[in-house]
Amino acid sequence: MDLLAQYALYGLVSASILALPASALTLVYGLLHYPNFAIAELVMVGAYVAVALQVVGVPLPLAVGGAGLLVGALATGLDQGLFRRVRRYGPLPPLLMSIGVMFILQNAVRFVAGNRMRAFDLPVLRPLEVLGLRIGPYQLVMVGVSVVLLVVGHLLLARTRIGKAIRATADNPEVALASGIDAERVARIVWFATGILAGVAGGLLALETVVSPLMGWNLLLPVFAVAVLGGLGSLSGALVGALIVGLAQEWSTLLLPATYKNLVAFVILAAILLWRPSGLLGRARPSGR
Amino acid sequence: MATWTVSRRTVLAAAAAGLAGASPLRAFAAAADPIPVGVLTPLTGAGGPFGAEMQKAITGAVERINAAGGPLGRRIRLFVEDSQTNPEAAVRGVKKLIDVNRVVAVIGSWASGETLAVAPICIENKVVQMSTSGASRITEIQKRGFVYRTEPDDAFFGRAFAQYALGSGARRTAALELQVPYADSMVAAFRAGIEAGGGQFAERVTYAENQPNYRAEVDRVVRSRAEVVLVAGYEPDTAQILKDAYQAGFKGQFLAPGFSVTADLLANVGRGPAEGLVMLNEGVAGGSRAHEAFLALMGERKPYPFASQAYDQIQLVALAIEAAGTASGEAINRTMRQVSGPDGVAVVGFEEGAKRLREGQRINYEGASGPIDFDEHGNISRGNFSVAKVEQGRIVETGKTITVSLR
Amino acid sequence: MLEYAIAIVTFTAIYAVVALGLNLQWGETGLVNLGQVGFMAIGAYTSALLALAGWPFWFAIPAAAAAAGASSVLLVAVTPRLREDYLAIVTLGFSEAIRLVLLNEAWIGGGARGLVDLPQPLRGVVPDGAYTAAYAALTVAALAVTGWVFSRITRAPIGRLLRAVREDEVVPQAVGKSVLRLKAQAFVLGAAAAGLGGSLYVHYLRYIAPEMFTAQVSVFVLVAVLAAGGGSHARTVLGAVVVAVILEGTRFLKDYLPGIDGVQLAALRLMVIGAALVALCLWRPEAMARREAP
Repeated sequence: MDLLAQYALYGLVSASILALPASALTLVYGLLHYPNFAIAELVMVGAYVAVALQVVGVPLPLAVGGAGLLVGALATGLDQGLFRRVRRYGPLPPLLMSIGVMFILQNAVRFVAGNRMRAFDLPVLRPLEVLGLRIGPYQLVMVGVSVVLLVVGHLLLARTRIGKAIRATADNPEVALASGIDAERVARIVWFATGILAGVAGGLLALETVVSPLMGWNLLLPVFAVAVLGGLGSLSGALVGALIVGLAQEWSTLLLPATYKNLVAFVILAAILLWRPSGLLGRARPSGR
Repeated sequence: MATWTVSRRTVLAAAAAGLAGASPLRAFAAAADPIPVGVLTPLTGAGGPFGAEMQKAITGAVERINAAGGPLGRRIRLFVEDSQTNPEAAVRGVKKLIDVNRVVAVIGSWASGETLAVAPICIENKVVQMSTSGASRITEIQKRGFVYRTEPDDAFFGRAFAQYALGSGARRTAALELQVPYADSMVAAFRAGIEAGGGQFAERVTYAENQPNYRAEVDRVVRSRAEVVLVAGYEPDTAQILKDAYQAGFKGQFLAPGFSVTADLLANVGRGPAEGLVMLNEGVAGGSRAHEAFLALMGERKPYPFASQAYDQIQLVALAIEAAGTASGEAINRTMRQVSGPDGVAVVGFEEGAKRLREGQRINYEGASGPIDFDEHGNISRGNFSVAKVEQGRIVETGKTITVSLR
Repeated sequence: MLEYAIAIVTFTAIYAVVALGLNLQWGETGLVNLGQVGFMAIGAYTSALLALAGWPFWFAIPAAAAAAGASSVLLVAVTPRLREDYLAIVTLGFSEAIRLVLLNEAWIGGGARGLVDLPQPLRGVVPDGAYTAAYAALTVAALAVTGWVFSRITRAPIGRLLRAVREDEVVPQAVGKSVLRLKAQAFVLGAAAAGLGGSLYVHYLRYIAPEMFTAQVSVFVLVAVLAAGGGSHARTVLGAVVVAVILEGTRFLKDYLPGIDGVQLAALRLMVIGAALVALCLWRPEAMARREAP
């Protein structure tokens, strides 16, 4: 029982990291209707940027925030320079392109930073014990920042004018266009938000991880499982999905070798597609496109 | 030019003395050419950090060998290929080395997967292969000759860890093992050694590379209440495990092979997590003359043990060529054990060894990575391991050594 | 030089077989498969284990193709209407799942240690000196047979339907054929080709381990097929040659690029592959979308 609770806590930490890129993935999908395979590499780039900034003396919060902004700019640049040009040809060209971008980002980082491992210049701290459960101070920060970012994101989307414009465009582009919403501007903002989410996720992840060029690749499958489970295009779905996948991955290690964590993500993905392809909170899309 | 003429004469004399089958004319023509030797090391993938250093050691050693006149008075010319820590790339690389560059030996294959994929090709083409792979199953292929390993077999390594753990008075042990071939055979031998010595082996946890954390894996080890835990992996995952274990409140003793721990790791994980970590280093004959000569080549950073082995591999190949009087894979395979010892006059480098050989003496190369005496399969027959420890954020040699031989 | 050239021909022919499979899936019907390496792995392990158990190659190699094809039926069943965005992640995830299972379940194929000393077809039949050439001939023959079978399929009435599926799903439905069934058949055949390729691959290397089957390989094959623009089988083979040149040619490039270390060269090689993919999408988006320009 204690063990279940302890692993639930670990699951929460994993979920807080998965929720950010999964939200980013689902945002773009909801608006532009293609999956961005480069999303996990944006997380990796964010981790490198945050570590690089912190190591040269930028305070940690600024380093993580800076990573968010820089990756936001990178994501917007990628959309404007590449994805936007092929958007109108349906989901396949941008999808394939995002795989190319995934390769380029991963290896560009390897080209610049080499294979050597890097980490924040921070002391490693012993865990806190609360009610018999262990949690590291950095893990608390990870969960806290992630929750704040997600809440702020939801508020922006629900309350502000640009948030409403994003939702309107995602719901029905024609109507949105007719009511004077600038669809290109909406796309730019969504891509920027995507980059912020991914970049901050990378910075947070680096709090407990040794940073390497391959760290993005290992997130790809769980992030997709989360987004599909929640329903591609549904932000609250991404949260629920992240909790389920995070918990399932951690709990699975009580029964299975931990090396099967990614397999668990895949099984969840396959199961949800079999049972309810539109995801838990997604809306079924009649034409399949 | 004077030495040149001499060397031609030497070769001609050798040919005249009855080199079976070889035409004196060809030997004469060949004498002018450099001897092609292949280097197949990983520059990318898991072996990336090691391969680059191995190349540096080999290139430096060859400069010295050539400056000393080279084997049979001929220069050694290196051809370098990246194995990418990938069996397929290694096979393409070795095909190019053998077929395009006509190398007589391929040195440096590092990962067990590479060595296993490349060995049959080397054997078929009668090219000597020198490897730093530890996986026990390579021995199955070595029975056909031509393949030599300067790395102690992983089974030696595992036994050495067991000896250390038992010697430290530990009763309960466990192991964390990366999913790579070397870790598998090392941990199996560790377990066998612990159980044979009356200790308990409580838990064996395998883990995947490049995971964001190893909390669950570490947790299982913590729950096993092991006092001593062997971590068999590479540097990034070992670093992550040390961090996660510290954060999980683990207070037991970690052991790790020396090649997975460097100053880099210590800098990245910080003071606490690595403190007290014990490492066994293979392939470092600390304080020996050959090792000093090797260190002088390598510059400031403490090199990985594979670099010292690569240094020894090229020395052995050069000496074997000199001893054989002809530069071919078959000849090197024939004379390898004549220069590696254990019988003969101890030498620590090509220049010294070649002089003795020309005087007609039998030599015993004592290298930078150890004495290197090959058994009938081409494996080193004794593993010497030095014990090091992390104290106050620095790697300190304890001066203790553990010797393992399976016979 | 000859031996090296033979090795390159062998690898290229093997990759071309796998690429032909993907071309049938993507080029003919617009199905995105990012997990071709998973089917290669299934085929490779099937024939490796059969051959080690003493089964003859005339049985083991076709069995490899059959096993890969059969396993792909699972994915067809899982993916709703074989929608491209879902199929992309399902196939990618599937190939990772296969690799993980092979890595963890040591009873199948030795786990990370893999299996060594695999038997080879035609060993003992041809003299050792001519063996590599014979093996290259075998792979080229496998390529020719795969190409012939696939071009028969695409030229037959079924092929016209497949193309119709790709262009527009409504027309063939009106004709009353089950579109999904056609797509599924193309998918299974394409996976079988990957299984064949995987089998030829490991018996050439004589060694098999899960590390050989990473997602990178799927992307190499994808780029080969996309470079050919879909459709023609001959052009797909050419696409495989182009990718082989990019991957292997950089081996020779390093002598001309001083100041770049090995890690950077390898990174550069993969960046070129990624850039090729991006460039193809920018250059011919309508071909990548498998439909006429809007």
